[in-house]
Amino acid sequence: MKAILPLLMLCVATATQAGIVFTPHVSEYGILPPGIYAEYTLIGTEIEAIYDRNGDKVQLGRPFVPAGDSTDAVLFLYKALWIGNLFRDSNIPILKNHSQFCRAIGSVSYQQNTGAIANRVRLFNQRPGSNGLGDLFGLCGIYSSELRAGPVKANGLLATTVKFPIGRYDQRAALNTGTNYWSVIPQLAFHSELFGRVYIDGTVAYQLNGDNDKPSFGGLTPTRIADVYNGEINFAWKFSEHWFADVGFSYRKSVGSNGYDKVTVNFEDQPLSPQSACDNTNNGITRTGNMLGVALGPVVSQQLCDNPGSDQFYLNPRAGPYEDNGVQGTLLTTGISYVYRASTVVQARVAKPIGGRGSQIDVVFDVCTREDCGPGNATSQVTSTLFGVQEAAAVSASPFFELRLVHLFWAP
Amino acid sequence: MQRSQHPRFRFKRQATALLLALAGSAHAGDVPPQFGRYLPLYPAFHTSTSLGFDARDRSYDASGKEQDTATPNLPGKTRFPEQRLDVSAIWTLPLFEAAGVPFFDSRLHTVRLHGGYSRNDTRGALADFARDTRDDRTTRANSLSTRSNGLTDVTMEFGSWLLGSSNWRERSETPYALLALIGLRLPTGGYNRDAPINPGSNTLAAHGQLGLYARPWPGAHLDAGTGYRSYYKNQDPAFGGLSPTNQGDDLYWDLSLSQRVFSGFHLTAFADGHKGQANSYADARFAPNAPAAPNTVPASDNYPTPGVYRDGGTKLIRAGLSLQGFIAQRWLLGLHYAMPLSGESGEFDLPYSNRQPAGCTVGSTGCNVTAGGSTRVHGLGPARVYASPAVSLTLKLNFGQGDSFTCTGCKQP
Repeated sequence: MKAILPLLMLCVATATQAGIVFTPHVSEYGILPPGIYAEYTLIGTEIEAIYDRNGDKVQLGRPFVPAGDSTDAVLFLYKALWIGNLFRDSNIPILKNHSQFCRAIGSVSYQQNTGAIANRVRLFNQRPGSNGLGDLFGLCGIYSSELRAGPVKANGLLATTVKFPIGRYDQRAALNTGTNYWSVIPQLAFHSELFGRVYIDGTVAYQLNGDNDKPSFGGLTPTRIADVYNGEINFAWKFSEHWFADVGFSYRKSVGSNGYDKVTVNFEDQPLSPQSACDNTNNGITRTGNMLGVALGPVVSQQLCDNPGSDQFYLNPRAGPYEDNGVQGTLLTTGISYVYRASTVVQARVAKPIGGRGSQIDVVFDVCTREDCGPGNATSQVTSTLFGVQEAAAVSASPFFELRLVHLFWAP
Repeated sequence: MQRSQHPRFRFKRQATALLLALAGSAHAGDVPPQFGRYLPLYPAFHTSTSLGFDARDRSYDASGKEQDTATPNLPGKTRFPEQRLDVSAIWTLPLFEAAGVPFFDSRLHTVRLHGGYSRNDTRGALADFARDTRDDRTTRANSLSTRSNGLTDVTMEFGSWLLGSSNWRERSETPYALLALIGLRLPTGGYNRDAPINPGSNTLAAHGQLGLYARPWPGAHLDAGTGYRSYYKNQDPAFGGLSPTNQGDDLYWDLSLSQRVFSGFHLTAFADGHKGQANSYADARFAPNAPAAPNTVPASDNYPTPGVYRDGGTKLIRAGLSLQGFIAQRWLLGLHYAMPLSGESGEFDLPYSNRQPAGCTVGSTGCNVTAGGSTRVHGLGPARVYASPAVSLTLKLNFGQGDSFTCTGCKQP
């Protein structure tokens, strides 16, 4: 069993895609025997709703496209973990008596808007999705000593993760597999076992984010990304040597606001006809945009919609700066694990968002009768509330599913 | 006694050969089927790497006629040359051995991951069309690409040997076996919607497959498989929607017969193919062979009439030869040649609408739209079936036994 348990905790949690995954697993932070481990994780989700800045759920695409379409995402992670003690034969205090670990996490993913949402994205000359390589995460850390007191066994760990923004990134895409900004994530965690039946794992982490000077999707990804702190805890019950079930809770919240300084999102085909403008602004009724930020708000009045013979016009957004109210997300997770000998673990899990707050900004658009539209020749201005998109801004209100295969690749 | 004559070593060598045989799901156009792919392998971890080349300069049209271009409906010759690296990781393991799961606890199982990297280029007539910027302001054929390189999709598979793997600890011979596989293709591969050919598919696909293995005589391996693959909707079909929005489901098959020709070397004859149902195309945005707009005053232009169109499906049968040999005990090198024998590509008729005056916003006052002509266009991406031969080089590695069990297939003392 000693050999089996470590295989359940191979994910020294990192915000691999912080918008989706920063969730606990069974025995995540327990001390492992020295060795090399491999883990393969498949995550799938169909995001049909997201949280707005007030914490309310919003159906994706509403009110400008019918409900029912979604943002589909599949994330496939490969994690390689080394555990050992480089300083075992030295006299360096602390290090010589405590194992260290390092880990690399790579990913490939598919993120795609569907149906009418994808069609709407094209109006802005943007790509509705993106596939390919994700960012690379690297981390190193050290375990604490193990505490044993009666039926209790516990340990801690300290680690720091660095996210290298090498993932595929397209400024014209509504969704990207890479983030285009650096992150550094120091982390404290603990693991404990009670009576050999109950396993508890918890952590706190702080994600320091760099800036993104090349925002995508017309500037609706933040240029100044707020830092994020994370907390998580997981409780597992061991039914037998082979079967485990667990329940977890995960919370993350940004520290302050995300900043947007390069908003350019706009209709590709201009001038806009009155009918086109009305169709795309919900007949002038004051509504907020959808999560993709593709729905412009009350750009035209009802009077203009009712008189399609009126002049056509041009729109142009003001670049910024804008700031949101920050983001926040809370998840509940539950899953089962099957352990085969000392070499393989298979786990299935579902995560359900139970609260959140997404990013929205109020973007000012100039309305002009000339093509070179700007503040100097605008006949009026309108404000449209747009959703921020991608990892740092959007918060899903839909569940995701996870399938993990953990494999002991090699052990000394 | 020389080492190669030692019975134990002979067995190990043979077992290694079998272990190294990649048992990936065979699909026409992918890595050629290789011997022993449906044989229950000894619990271990294997990898396989394949480097493939295909000029893709010939194709079949919708009637099954071979054409000296990859895009028969476009005047001039088009080529889509591809260099492709495929990597597979394969585990064989008695996963449910101690779980008390009826039937399955006594069988061997397999978990497989397939991925890779692909370089795709477009040359010739279609590349000229993509590079032509004169129509960028008046049609949707703008910002087009001729090249799309990147990671290919990831395919995950799980399988169980229903026959031929029970009592595998004590088994000394495996004269036949039956493998059942299910799999999921994840569309994580690179995808540029402005390119005609892409490394990734941008759509999920699920498949189920049965594979039969038999050893008809000493030194021979017979493998035969068939499967069905179903595709989900591609939300962003490439190259103006000339790639299918909904790819038709595939029924595919493979067959191979291998014979050990001399020590450590195997010669394999194989055939494989697929029959794809009709593909559908939604709201194509342009065609490289668009009909001419009417000559009117004021000027008119035209655009593809929005709608869903279907082709007649795809088909491919190909055959080939492989020679594989050990360059070391755990390393198997192979050379494969596959030649298409017959096929059919997807084509459909795309109607156009005329618009006057040119460039007017459809639906606005004074913008008149009438029915126009139509053009026969070739489907791209999975709708194309190539008639060019493909050459690939494979290298396989057995990382070693993954568990300390008694060797399966070993001759017992």
